[in-house]
Amino acid sequence: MKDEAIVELIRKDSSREEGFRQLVLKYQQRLYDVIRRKTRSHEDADDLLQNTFLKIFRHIHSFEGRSELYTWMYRIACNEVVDHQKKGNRMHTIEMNENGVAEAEPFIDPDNITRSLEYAVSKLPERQQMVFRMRYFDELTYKQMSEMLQLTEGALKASFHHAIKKIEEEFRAKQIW
Amino acid sequence: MDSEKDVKNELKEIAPDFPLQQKHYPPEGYFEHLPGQILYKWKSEQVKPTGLSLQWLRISTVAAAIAILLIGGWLISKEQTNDHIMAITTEEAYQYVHENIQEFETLLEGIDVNLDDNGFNIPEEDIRQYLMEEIDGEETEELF
Repeated sequence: MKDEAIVELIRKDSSREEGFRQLVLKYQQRLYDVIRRKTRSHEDADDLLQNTFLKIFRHIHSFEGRSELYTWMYRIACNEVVDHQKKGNRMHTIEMNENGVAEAEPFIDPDNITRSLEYAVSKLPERQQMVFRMRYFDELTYKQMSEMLQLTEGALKASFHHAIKKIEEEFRAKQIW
Repeated sequence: MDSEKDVKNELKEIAPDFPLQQKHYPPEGYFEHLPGQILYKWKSEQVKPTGLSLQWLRISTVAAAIAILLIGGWLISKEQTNDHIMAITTEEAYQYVHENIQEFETLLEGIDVNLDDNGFNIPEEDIRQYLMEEIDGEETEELF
C-alpha cells in the first residue's frame, strides 16, 4: 500500500486503526533492522521498535508530508535509540580509548567480516561515515538521505562510492580478501 | 525489499566483492504478532486518562482530602476548647479554693473591717452567735 493511502486511512476516525496496522506491516522489518543493528539484543530492539511506533501514532497528525514518511519515521527510531543509549545502553562494536579513537586491534579477521567492516568504517571521516552507514546499513535511498542531510543526491552518491573504495583498499591491504 | 535490492544492485555494480550486510533476525513469528501488540498498547493509551488529566485528578483528590482534614480538625479542636473551659470552671475551681483556703483567710485577716464603720451597729457577740447558728455546729473544714 502506498504511503499516501496509509496516511489517508489514518486521518479518518473510522479507518485509523486499519491505517496504523498497514503502517506497521509495511515498515516493521525495515525499522527493526535499523534499530536492531544499534542495540545489544532482540529484546532491546523490540522495546524500542514498539515505542517508536507508538510515538509515530501519537504524532502522525504533525507529519506535514515535507519529507517522505519513512524518513520521518526513521528519525523517530534513531532518536529512540539515542535516548536508550544515553541511559547507559550503548553498544560498542569498536573499543575506544580515552580520546575516543578506535583502538588498533588485530584487523585480520576473515571470519568476522562485520567486525572488520565496522572497524574500517570507523576510520572514515565523520560525514562520509554517516553517509555510508545510512546507505549501507540503514538502506536509505539517496532521496531520503538528501532530505535529512540537506545535500544533493549526486554528492551523496559520490561520498558513498568513495567510502566503498577506501574500505576495499583497507581490506585488500590487510588481506581480508 | 526495494531498498535492500537497491543497495545490493549498487554494490554489485561498483564493488562486486564487497561483503553484504549481515543482518540480525528476530525470533520466528515476531513480525506476525507485532502489529497486534502495538495496536493493543495504543488502544490502552486511548482508554486511560491522559497524563495531563491524570495529574489534575490527583491534585484535586489531594486538595479535597486536605480540606476535609482541616475542617474536621477545626471542628474537633473547637469542641475540645469548650469542654476544657467548662472542666476548669466546675471541678478545678472547687479544687483551687480548697487548696488555697489559707490564702483566702490571710487575705481576709489583712482586711481591717470595722463593722461599726458600716453603720449597722451590731454587737460583735451577736454576730458570732449568728454565724454559729448558720453552720449548725459543723466543723468549718467540712463545709469545704
